[in-house]
Amino acid sequence: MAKDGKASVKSVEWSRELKKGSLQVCLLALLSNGRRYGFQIIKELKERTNEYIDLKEGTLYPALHRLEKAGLLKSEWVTEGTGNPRKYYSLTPEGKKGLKEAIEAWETMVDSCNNVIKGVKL
Amino acid sequence: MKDQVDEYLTRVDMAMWGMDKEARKGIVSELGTHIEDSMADASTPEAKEKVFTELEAPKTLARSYKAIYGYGRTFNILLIMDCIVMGIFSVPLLYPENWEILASILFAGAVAEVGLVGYMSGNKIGLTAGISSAVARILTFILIYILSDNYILRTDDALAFVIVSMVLVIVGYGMGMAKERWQPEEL
Repeated sequence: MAKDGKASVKSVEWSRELKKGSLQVCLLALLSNGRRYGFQIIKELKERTNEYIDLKEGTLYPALHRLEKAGLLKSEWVTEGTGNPRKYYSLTPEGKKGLKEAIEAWETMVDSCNNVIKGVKL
Repeated sequence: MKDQVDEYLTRVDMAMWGMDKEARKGIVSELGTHIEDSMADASTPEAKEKVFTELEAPKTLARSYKAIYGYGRTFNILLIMDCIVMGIFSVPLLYPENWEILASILFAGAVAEVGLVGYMSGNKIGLTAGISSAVARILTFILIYILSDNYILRTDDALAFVIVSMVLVIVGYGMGMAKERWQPEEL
């Protein structure tokens, strides 16, 4: 964080790269709690990450479609009441397996990186 | 605001031109519902305006979806048929002796088109377009030879023709592979 309280350009870049790498895991993890539609996912991710992950529709939907095409998610159109139909996404058995592997990889990466970062003196 | 949203969705749909119709319809519906939900969630007119102004550019969005779904079957068939036509008209025997340059230009066009198809639709479609174009070219060559009494077929000429035709196959497949390899991973 820069002295004036605003995130520096470099800091924004770091955040973007880290978010990019963690988005798939976060999406799979969120959907492991049950089916959700895009707007719900954006709101929930924003709330649960204290606004750190604030996705735009242009990032979220292609990511969901890519995960669906990879067989990790499935989707269904649901019409509730008189409203427009919404596309709900949920995990497939392949997605659950993928999430388990992703979490293991994530924890290993975080632990490994922490071992290095903790020793840094600034 | 509704007109603006409708116009935006139409622009997204148009930018996805060539993709499967059903996939496009689903994407536009999903996006429409998302904008509607975002608007309903925005409490002030300024917040509603912000929802609209922060929407992803239609071309950028379409590029992401094209990278996932590629082009639709109908569009790919049309592209392959076009490559076949280009392949046929690039046979030098179709033209009088002094016009052979035209065949060369058309062959260069066929190679460029097959390459473009490979780039746009991936290595499988590129390979199909390349093989179809090359086979159409070779069959046309054989047909002209059978039907005409003016040509004496020399083995080295025929071999050179087949080898040159293989360029179409290599370019179609190669461009698709190159795109897959060099395209940055999105997510």
